[in-house]
This record gives sequence, C-alpha cells and structure tokens, in this order.
Amino acid sequence: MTPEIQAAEVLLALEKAARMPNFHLVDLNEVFGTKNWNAVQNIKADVDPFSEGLDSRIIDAELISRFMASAFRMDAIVSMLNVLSGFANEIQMHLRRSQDRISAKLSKGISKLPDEIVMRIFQFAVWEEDCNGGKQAISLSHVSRRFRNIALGSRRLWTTLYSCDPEGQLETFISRAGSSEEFHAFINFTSAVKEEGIGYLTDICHSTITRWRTLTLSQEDQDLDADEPLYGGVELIAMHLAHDFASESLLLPILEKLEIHGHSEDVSCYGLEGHPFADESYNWAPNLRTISCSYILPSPSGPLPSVTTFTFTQSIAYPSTTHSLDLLLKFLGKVPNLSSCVLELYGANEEGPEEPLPLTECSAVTSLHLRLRNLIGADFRGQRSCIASFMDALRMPSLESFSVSLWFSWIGGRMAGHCDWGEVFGKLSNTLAPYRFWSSTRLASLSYELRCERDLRECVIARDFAKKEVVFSVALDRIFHIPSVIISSWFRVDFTLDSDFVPHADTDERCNLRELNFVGCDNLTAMDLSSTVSTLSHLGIWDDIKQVVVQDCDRLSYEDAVDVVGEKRLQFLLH
Amino acid sequence: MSTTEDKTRKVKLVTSDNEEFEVDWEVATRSVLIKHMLEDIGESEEQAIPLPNVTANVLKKVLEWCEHHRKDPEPAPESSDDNRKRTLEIGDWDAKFIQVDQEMLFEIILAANYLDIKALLDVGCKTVANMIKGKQPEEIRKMFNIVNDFTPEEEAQIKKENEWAEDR
Repeated sequence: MTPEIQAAEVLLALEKAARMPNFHLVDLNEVFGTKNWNAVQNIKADVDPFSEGLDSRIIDAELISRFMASAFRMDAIVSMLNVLSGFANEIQMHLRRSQDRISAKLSKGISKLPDEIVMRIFQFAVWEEDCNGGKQAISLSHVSRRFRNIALGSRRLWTTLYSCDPEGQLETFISRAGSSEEFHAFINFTSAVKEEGIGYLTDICHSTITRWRTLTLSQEDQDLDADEPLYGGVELIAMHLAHDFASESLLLPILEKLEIHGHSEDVSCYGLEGHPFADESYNWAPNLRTISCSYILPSPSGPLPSVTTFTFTQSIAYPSTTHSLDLLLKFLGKVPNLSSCVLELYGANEEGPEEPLPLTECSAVTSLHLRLRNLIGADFRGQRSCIASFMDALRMPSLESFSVSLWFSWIGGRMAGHCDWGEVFGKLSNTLAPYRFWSSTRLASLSYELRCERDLRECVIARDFAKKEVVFSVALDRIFHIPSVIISSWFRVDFTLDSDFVPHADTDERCNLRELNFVGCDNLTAMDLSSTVSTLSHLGIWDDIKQVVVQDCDRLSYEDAVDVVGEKRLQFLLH
Repeated sequence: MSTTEDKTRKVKLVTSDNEEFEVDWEVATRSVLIKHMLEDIGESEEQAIPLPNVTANVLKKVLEWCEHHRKDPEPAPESSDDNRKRTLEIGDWDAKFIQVDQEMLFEIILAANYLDIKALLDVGCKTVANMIKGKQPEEIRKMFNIVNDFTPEEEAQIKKENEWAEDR
C-alpha cells in the first residue's frame, strides 16, 4: 500500500468514526489522551516523555532509535492533522451557515406541526426501515420529550418484530403495541439461529402470532462461526415455523404477505419442498394474498387459493433449466386465483429443455411483468432458449396487461456488444410474443422496456449505431388486438409484420393499435421517432393512431415531436 | 360522484391574505374540505370559499399539485393506512414538486392537512421522513434544533433502551 493510500485511509477512518451511532457520547479526551498514543508508549517505560531535558537522559542507542521513531511519527501526525484541521475548518465554516439556517427553518416547521402529523412522519420513517423499523422507532423516542410522547402514543410504531432484536426489546415492543395492533415479523437465519433455533422467538411472540400481518423470512449469506456460506437457512426456518404452527394448532388468520429471501448462490435450494405449504399445514395462513420470493421457491403440496399476487426473482439456469422451469410452472399451476405476477429471471438466454414443458394455464392472471436480467445478446438462442420454452408452455387467457423489461449485460466483455443486434432483437421479439400466449383478447396494454449496461451501450454505439442496425422490431400481426403500446427503450423500436404469421391483406382492418407511448426513451431522437412512424405508415396503420404520448425523452424536443407526429396526436409531457 | 356539469364548473377560493383564485371544480375538490364546503353551499357559483389558514403563495403551490392529480382516483379510506405500500417512494413528478424551501415544505404539509388532501399530506410527510430515516437521536436533534429535555428518570430509561442496540 502506498503512503498516499495509507494517508487517505486516515480521512476515511475519521469519517467512519464520525458516522458511528452515539458518537456524541464518546469522551474524546479519554480516547485521544496522551497515554493512548503509540509514540508515547514506545518510550514511556524508559523515560517520561513529558519531562524537561529529555535529550540528556536519552543516551542508549536503542532508546535513541525508539525516541527518534516516535518523534518522526509525531511530526508526520501533526503535519497530517494540521492539513486535515485546516480543510475540516474550511468545510465546516462553509456548511455551518447554511446548516444553521436550514435547521432554524426545520425547527420552526416541525414545532408547528400537530402531533398527529408528526406521528404520520414517524410511521413512514419506521415503515421504510423494514426489519430495522424497531431501531428507528427507538431512535425517534430518544430525541426529546415531545418526540417520545408522540412515539409512545402511537401503538403502530412498535409493531416490528425482528428475530435479531434482543428479547427485552421484543417484549417491550409487544407491550407498547398493545393487544389489538397487527404486527410485521421478520425472521433472519443467522449462525446463532442455526445453533439455537427460533423457539425463543416463537415463545416471546406467541401472543402476537395470530396478529402477524406480514412475515419475512431471510438469511445471512455467511456462517460467521464456521466461515462458510450459510446455505439452506430459510428452508430450516420455514420447516420449524410450519412444525411449530402445526404442533400448537397456531393460525395466522390475518397474514396477507409472505416474503422468502434465500441465499443467492444456493443453487441446490431452488424448490422449498413442501414447507411452509405442506398439505396439512397450509391452513395456517388462510388469507395469504401475496407471496414474494427470491432465490427460493415454495413447492406447495396443494393449491393456494387465497394467493393473488406473486413476485419471484431467480436464475432459471440452475440447477438445470428443465428442473427450475418445471418447478416454476408447477408453482404457477397451484395458484388458481393468481392475478398479478412479476417474474424477474436471470439466465433466460440459456439453452432450453429438449422436451416441451408441460402446458400451464394461469386462468386468472390479468397482469404479468417479465423482467429478464443479464441478457447476453451474443448468446441468445431464440426458440431454443429456456425463456422460449417457458413462454410456449404458459397460457394466460385473461391477461390484460403485459410488461417486458429486457436488461442486456456486458458479461462476456466486448463479445457481448459484437453481435448482430437486429437478429437478436428479432428472436427476442418473437420469443416473447408466442401466438398461443397472446390468445387473450382482453390484453389492453403491452409495455416494452429495453435497457443495457453503460459499457455495452458505448460498445454498441461505437460499432453499430452509425449503421442504424440496432432496432427492436415489434411484429404488429402478433399484437393485433392490443390498443396501447408503451415503449421505454434506449434502442429504437420499429413495427413490422411477421410474414409467417398471418396474411397481410387485412392488416389495417384487424389492427387495434390506437395509442403509442414513449416513456423515458433517453436516446430517442426525432429521426428515430420518424422511423417508427414510417414503419407504421408503411403498414397502413399510422392513420388509425389517435395519440402519441412522449414523456421524459430528453433528446426529443416538443417542436421536433410535433413535426413528426403532428400537434393533434401529440401529448408531450416533461417531469 | 361528480357530474359532467360539476367538471365544467369553476370554483372561487379566497386565501388568508385576500387573494382570489378561480379553479376548475375537479381541481378544487381534490381537497375534501373544499368538496364538503361546496356541497354545503350548493349550486351558488358566485360564492367564494374562504380559506383562512392558507396564504396565496402556499395555495398556488397546492393547486399546482391538485391540477396535476385532478384525474387521480379517490383516496382509500383512512382505516386502510396499513395496507399502503410500506415505502417512502414518491413518484417522479411529486418528488420534483416537493423540492421546495424547508419553510414552504412545512406550509404545504399544514395546508394539505387543513384542506384534507391525504395524498399531498403523504408526499410532505414522506419527504420529512426521508430526512429523518436512519438518523441517530443526536443527529435528529441537531437537524431540527431540538433540545434534549429528558428528566434524569427518563434518561435512565433511555440508557436502558440503548443497551438493546448493544445486545444485537
């Protein structure tokens, strides 16, 4: 490490210490007292460093060496402190004036607010902190008498039960929340939980369990005691909880939301076999509406009829695409009343299974948001990709709104950018719009979001943009019945026809597209918009378009947009 | 339920500093208070609604918000507070709208509370909550010029509660 880096770390250490909780309670005279200085310790056993005439008493060569080392060190320290102090004073002086004025206004403002509004502010601050909401509530109650009275008067502020909080705190919270408030429970699997289990938590919280409104199961990544990854933690918690609930006939009658966050690298833990939805124990949460999972997927034994919302994040490439997609489809098949589904999938460009996946009908789904992450253009296999197999197996006859977010990654270095983007986009467009999947005539809104990492953007710009090859084409004949399309794309989006799909003769009569929305297209120019419009004109559709909304597209001015689409059709919105 | 006639109707509002604003019925009735007052006075279009707790510069800002949100659905009843997304996220437009001087921020909060505009009140409260979140008591004191006025007994209890943080 260079001296510059070491010196810079002094500043980092100072700033880190200044951010420590309760720093104001630290006795700096004690911490920085002369006895704590290594330069003093270094010679203290032989001479009193603060006595007069040290030079006459330091005659031993070894002591001279140590004394000089201490003295040189102090010179360096004082140099650093002088400069640090100079800059610190200058910065403080500049910040102080505005700080005082802002504080004065905030002080006046908060003192004028009635208690019920302050209570509302506290509530938002606590909610935001999720499992650390309890810590936030405690902080607020330690500010002043007024704040404490308001905090203690709001029972809802004390409803966060976090397994990592001490028993005394949990007991106090339960008491402060009272006998009728609903709770938000967070159980985190740690090395300690691995050793001791969660029995203590269920014991302390026993009286509140029937009032848990939300339950979040999570886990630490690393077993700090064994210094190894802590795999399978949430599986264990789920198993223990299901067992405890079953053995004590405990119900969670108002539980609405269950979140389960597994270990992102635990590829063996894709399916959460049975628990917490084994046949005999699912009754523990009869009103569960929302399941949100990342890096783990429950594998329920029976249907989950109460669940209407499902959010899922996972790599579908592990342990194998067949296994993971099969489990996902099985899960979807067991949620008969699912209406809203968000799937954030990694590894979508991997090779799909050889055999077709079982057809799965999600008859109640009205909204699907598919987010495909870390897509690598050069590797995308089109109809042979696992996302193609998945889409071919899905049936969503009631779908009303479909959003696709595609995020292209720089993984693979320059090769990632050096692919035929036109071909990749063509494959993707068709893959994500299989004919049978679109059989829902209720589909009213289709949204495409296309983004890529900065490095990849630069590579694509350098290579392909001049040639205008990087265009995402939407096959119009695959979306005939959809009246509104929303585009949020860094790439240009055009419309085309898929010649293998349906005859073209009646394109304009069959097409229902009436509204185009360009939202946050940060690279969209007048030329790009003009290109989109001409593809629609060429297909005979443009005259039927009633409205074009342009919102937050930084490179497109109102005047240019009017020139391209005309004033009558344009709705131009800025932030 | 609003009628087509209501939507074309204009409403006069008079601020505490006697400035008069004429706005669309749909915009004015984002405020539950104004909506109820309009229901009370009936069809009388000429009658201005007095708003003695709001100054002109604050009302101007509040009406800007109401104009942008004129088509928003009616807010959910108060009892469903806990159902709301547990987040401090504010929409892009609202986030830009609320970038105001600290004095104006609190004036907007007070006006939203008085006028009973829940969604605007939440935008203001979330903005202040964003300033507070994750801060230690001493930092909050410094931020709001608040004096630590705890009694020795209360300090003792607080010290005990601080031990929870150390037990983690």
